[in-house]
Amino acid sequence: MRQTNVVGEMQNRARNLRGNSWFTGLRGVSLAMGLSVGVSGAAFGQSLENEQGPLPTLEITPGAARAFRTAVLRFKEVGAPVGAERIAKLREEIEKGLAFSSVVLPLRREAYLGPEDSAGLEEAGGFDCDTWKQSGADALLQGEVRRDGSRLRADLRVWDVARCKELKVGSVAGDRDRLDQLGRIVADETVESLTGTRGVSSTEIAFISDRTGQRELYVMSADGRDARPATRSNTIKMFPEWVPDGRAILYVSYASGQPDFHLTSRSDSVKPGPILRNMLSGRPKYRGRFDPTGEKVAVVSSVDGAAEIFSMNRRGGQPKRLTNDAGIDVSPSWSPDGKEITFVSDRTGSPQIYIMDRDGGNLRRLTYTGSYNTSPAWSPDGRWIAYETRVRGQFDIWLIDPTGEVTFPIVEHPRTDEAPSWSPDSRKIAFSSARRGRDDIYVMDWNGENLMRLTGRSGKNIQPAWGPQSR
Amino acid sequence: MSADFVDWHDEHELDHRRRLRNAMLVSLAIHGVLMGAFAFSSAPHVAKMPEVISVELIGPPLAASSAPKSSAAPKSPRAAAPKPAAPAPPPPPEPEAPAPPPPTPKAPVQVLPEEAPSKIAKVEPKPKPRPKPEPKPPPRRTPEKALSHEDALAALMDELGGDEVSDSLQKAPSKEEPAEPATSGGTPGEGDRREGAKMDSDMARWMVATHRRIQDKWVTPPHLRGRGLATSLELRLSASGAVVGEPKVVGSSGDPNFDDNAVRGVLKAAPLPPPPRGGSVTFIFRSEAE
Repeated sequence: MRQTNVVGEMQNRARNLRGNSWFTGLRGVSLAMGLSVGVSGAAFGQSLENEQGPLPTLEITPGAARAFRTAVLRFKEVGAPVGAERIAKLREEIEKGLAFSSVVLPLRREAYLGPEDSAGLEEAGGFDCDTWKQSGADALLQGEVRRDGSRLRADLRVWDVARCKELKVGSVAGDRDRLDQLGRIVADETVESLTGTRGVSSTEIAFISDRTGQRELYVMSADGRDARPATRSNTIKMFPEWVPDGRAILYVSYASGQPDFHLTSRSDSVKPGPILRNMLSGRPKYRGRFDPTGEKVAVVSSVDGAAEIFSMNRRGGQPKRLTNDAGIDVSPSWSPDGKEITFVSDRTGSPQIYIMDRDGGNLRRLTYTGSYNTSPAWSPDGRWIAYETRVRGQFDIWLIDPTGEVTFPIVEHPRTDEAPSWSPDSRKIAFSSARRGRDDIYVMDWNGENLMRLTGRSGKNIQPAWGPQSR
Repeated sequence: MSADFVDWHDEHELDHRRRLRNAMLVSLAIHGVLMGAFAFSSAPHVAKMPEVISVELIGPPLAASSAPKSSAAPKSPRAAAPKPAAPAPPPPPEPEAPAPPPPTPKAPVQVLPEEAPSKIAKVEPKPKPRPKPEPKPPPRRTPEKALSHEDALAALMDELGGDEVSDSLQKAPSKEEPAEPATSGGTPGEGDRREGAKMDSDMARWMVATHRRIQDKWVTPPHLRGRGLATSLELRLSASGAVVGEPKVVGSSGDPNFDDNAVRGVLKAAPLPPPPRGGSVTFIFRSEAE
């Protein structure tokens, strides 16, 4: 009887203590049951483990730690001399690449307890896991670097310090004067070994800038370094779109007076210049978006003065019209499985986000919040659609899930943020913002953290398009 | 008390301790009840936690499988009816009962992933909501005068061990739900109970310390949070808290990376605080607090 009372009271108490968090309060109760069962099992001599039975089950929820720490050792020089300077620089670049990831950060140098020089990879390990664990490292990166003509090859090995187990071995080669590239690739591999998704520090972002007076296409590293022009023809360029294999970028050029598709090459195997000229010929092509396979293009063109969305095969065939209404239908973005397209339509009077199947069927409206929603971008992992919404005359970037049930702003700012583009790992978003007065390209984590401005020397910098993984 | 209990000013710790304290108190009570009763049917080892009210054995499966005998078993406390975990209708006195998270009227707003920015808006026609900051787990202060963990334990031990009922427990508010009197069947001897209570207090301390330790060491990157994932790990602990062998994933979350990361979390935290006794233990790692 007493026990019953106590239980009843405790539940009340749990409820009082937890306030509105009913579930958590009860979780305590269920946890307790696990405990009491374990104990009474022992009392009845039914234990499996030993006289007293197993320990009670515990539930663990995430604490504050969000990022892994990786100790990056100085790679060992093998064969022809590489030079201490290069080796130190490579290490620095790897650390920069890790820092960009926000999830696998370099271990602070001050925290190192173990030796900073990597053992050769032939030797098994050559370090003490416990020492590194005490330094706060989750992972340890060892490596060798050797010269191969004008190139450098880095062989790497990532260790899981807690398990004292190898996570990954790999090999990366590159121009010996591009240690930044080499370092970023090593960093991205390291990120993958810990998180299962490759890092994006070695990817690139295309964007449009008028820094020379004309709107041209530029490409830069995802961290903003090495911005360089990809076109120079003194006509307006708009809406860069990477071919999914990364070998070229599609853009819209006004060279012929009306908007048409062109390619800029990122590889010797792609010839730059106008493409898809015979499709929808005579009609403007305002924008093109590739499906994930790169085989299909969703094209915004116009019919009787209203923008409509078409789907066409990159290699030919009849374009298929997907939208058909009196309003404007623009800004298509494919779902990562290629089965659906999200886009903007003002068919109800104000621009809103919609989703349709890739053949134009199964149309449904996604946004009901806000009176002006545009620029949808489907995340590569499929979980979210980023879009811009007008708030008091300027724009903020929000996320909405593809069922339309959850929507919220990533970040709010009194100046306009627009044109979101996802990183291939779905962890970051590039966008343009006028928060400094002039449009610049920024990146942030998808939860709004780690904001970073990538451009800013001159001109207006808009319409970022995050490129694919390079391998 | 161990050093892990000292920092009372840490909100997080406070909340945490409170939770375990509640668990502990209830546990002791149920312990008694269960001793009197018979062994319950064993539920399979599952990663999913029991539904609100039902007893779902998280511990090791016990042998017998019959429901508590009505005569021998004390009438079960209303909220702990040892029914199989089922979305049973809420026991009457608990209006708020099992419904999943927030009881929203109709708007299909869902729980945000923990990492999501700090605001949420319902999907509804304008006016555009200026969403409030997400109900940040407010400092969960006890409304009543906080009962220290030690007090609670002591009180409960008294209660279980002797006839006096500690004031603090007796006065616990239970307006809407006066505890239902129940006829109690055979309870074990006093000695056993004292033993049990003593062991449980050590156990509770260990649980608090262990939870804290793992939580501190387990790195959970944003992309693994708020996804409704749960991984059950089974491992063996030596009496000194060392993890013996490799933890085994006995209930996968479905995301190998999350499973893997749970293993990493435990091993990073090892050695754990020395448990009251060595043996096997199950940890359930969740991608978010509920």
